[in-house]
Amino acid sequence: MKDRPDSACPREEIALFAIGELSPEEQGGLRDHLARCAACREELDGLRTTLAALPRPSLDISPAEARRFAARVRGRIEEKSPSRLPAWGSALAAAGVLALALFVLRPAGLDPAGGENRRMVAEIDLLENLDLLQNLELLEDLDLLQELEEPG
Amino acid sequence: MSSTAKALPSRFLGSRQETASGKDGVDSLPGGQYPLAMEAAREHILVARAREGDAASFEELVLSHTPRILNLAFRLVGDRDEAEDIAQEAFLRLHRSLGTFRGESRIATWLYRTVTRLGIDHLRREKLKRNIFFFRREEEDADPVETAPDHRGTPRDLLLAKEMGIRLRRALDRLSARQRTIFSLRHFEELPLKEIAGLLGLEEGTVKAHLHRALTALRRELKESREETL
Repeated sequence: MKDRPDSACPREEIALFAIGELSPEEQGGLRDHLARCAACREELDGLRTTLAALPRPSLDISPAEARRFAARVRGRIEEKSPSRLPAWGSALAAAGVLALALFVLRPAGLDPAGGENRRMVAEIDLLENLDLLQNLELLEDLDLLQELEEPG
Repeated sequence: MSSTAKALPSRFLGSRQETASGKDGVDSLPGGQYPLAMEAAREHILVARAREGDAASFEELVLSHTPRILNLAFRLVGDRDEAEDIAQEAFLRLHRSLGTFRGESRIATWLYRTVTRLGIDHLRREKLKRNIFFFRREEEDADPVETAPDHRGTPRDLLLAKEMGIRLRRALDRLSARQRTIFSLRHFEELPLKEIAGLLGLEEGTVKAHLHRALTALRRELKESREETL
């Protein structure tokens, strides 16, 4: 006799059988195996004992406790609901004041779009637009041709 | 109604005994269909009113689901305070989702799914805490196994049963969050595996494998416990 179920034993089916989750067809096959395998019978007995030793825990919730809980949930909803809009309003107002302060108090000479910076930005834009550059070359050639064609 | 809602145990779908509000219908009609339909209709009205901003209707909705949802959370995480936090969060999420709640499933099913997922997240965080900080649960915490009704016996039997309960509780703590949740949903909530798979978004075969591992681990714990006792 085997001491314990081996790899040939349907261990998962035994567990599912113990917990009542095996179809009648599957049960038929397992019962045949159990009739031959004492180790599996012992395993099944152990699983059933384990399950019986784990009764369903239950909280006793009185109607008064349930009402208190429901009122607490309602309280949480109500304390969140009205505060949401003012919170957004405050955040927006703070952001506005900060933006205004930065604009008014900005140091001179820190204009990112001014002077040299502005020229560089324009050049970069031009480089990015290759079609436009090619068209400019065509326009220059056109000017030359027009000059050659002019009488005199 | 979704298939999940259909398969939930009758105690979960609003029997008179577990509903704190005490406003369920009459159970005398054949098949109990009438009270179920009445409850569904009442719930539909409460949801519609709550969606329009009626706080009292939402509170009534919460009240009618509190015993079941709180118990579910308790059985998943094993602590009353944590269960209340999880149940509260589920109801707050329900309130935020009312605008998009299409009514394809019952509120109970929606809450069941949400509490299960929140429970798994909670168990994972707790496990991580224990792993990082060697955190151990306070001894004075309520033990769900101990709070369950037990069979009367001799003082020695009671002592052994209590010791066994503590060991099994520790074994439950050692399971992965998913294994423990699947075990709780099957053994305590008596949900079919197919429905558990639906709730958790897993294949049924995966659920079976997790359940098998959970059961084997618990069985091993019980066996070792017995051998030590003898």
